[in-house]
Amino acid sequence: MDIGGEHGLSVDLGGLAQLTRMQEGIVRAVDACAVQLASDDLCRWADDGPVHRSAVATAEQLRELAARFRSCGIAVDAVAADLGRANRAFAESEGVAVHSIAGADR
Amino acid sequence: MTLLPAAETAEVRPPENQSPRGPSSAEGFVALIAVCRELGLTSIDDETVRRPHRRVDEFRHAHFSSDALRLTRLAESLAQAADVDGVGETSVAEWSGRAGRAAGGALRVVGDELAGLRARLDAGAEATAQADAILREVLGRHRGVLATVSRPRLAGYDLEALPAALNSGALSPHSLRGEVQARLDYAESAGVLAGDAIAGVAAEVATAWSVGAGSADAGSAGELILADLQ
Repeated sequence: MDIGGEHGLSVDLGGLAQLTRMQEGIVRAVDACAVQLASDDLCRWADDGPVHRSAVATAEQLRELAARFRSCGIAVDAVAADLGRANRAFAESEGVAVHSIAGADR
Repeated sequence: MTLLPAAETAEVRPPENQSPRGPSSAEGFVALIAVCRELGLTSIDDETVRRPHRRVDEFRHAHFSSDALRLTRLAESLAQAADVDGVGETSVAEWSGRAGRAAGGALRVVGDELAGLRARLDAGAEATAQADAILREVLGRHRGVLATVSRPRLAGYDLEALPAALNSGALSPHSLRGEVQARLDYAESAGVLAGDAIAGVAAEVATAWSVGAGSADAGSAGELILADLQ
């Protein structure tokens, strides 16, 4: 779609669909990353002493990072959903426009 | 309320010659020193010989290595997933109009946030992997020192030949005591240095994860210790 002027727009619907899928892929990767970072299996280097304290501190940092990845995933997911809605709206508009043009041709 | 027998409620403790992780790394040396003690060459007890190596024994290097590998792979897999961003930006750049501008803005915001988090993950994973390599070397050298001091040969005599050599006067107990004490000192300093290296490197890994990208030099403490263990 490409219409010039102040209110014009140009959008590649195939590209937009691909972009939406990419964002969805990023959401999955970010979520998986958050799950791994928050895993209880990590940072079990020692049961006591300074190494244990460092392990606990590291685990806390990893959990905090996991929470931030989770938040980021939610934000990316929202953008992906918006892109998906935009794509459907553009596709619908295109369909309506084609129908209108076809009607005018009759 | 059911009362359990004392044996079931008591805290389970490892035997004296074991750390919570298993036998002490110094058991071979402890055995040698026990023989020396029987020959009157030292009076040091087993626990004192093991003590400097306790922190090495209590450190689970296999867990640390596994974490380093996992975190590195995690950073790599996220990089692969997020590296399609460039393609996405091209697509949105061709999308004009108000919707295109809004989408571009939203993608930039989440892209920047993700890039910041990825940078922190990359830096932390790299610091952990470096620390793992240093600790591997520190522990290898610690093992090497213990193997050296545990060799069952003193003053040119095999351990089993020592009593006869001492009885015949071929060997002076004084010089042998000096060698035993030198081995004890060497083993103790190796254990202390390795323990310090483990604690220092672990602390730097914790710092690397807390401060994020580019702020940690996880190698420094461990590398200094390595120089001492040469």
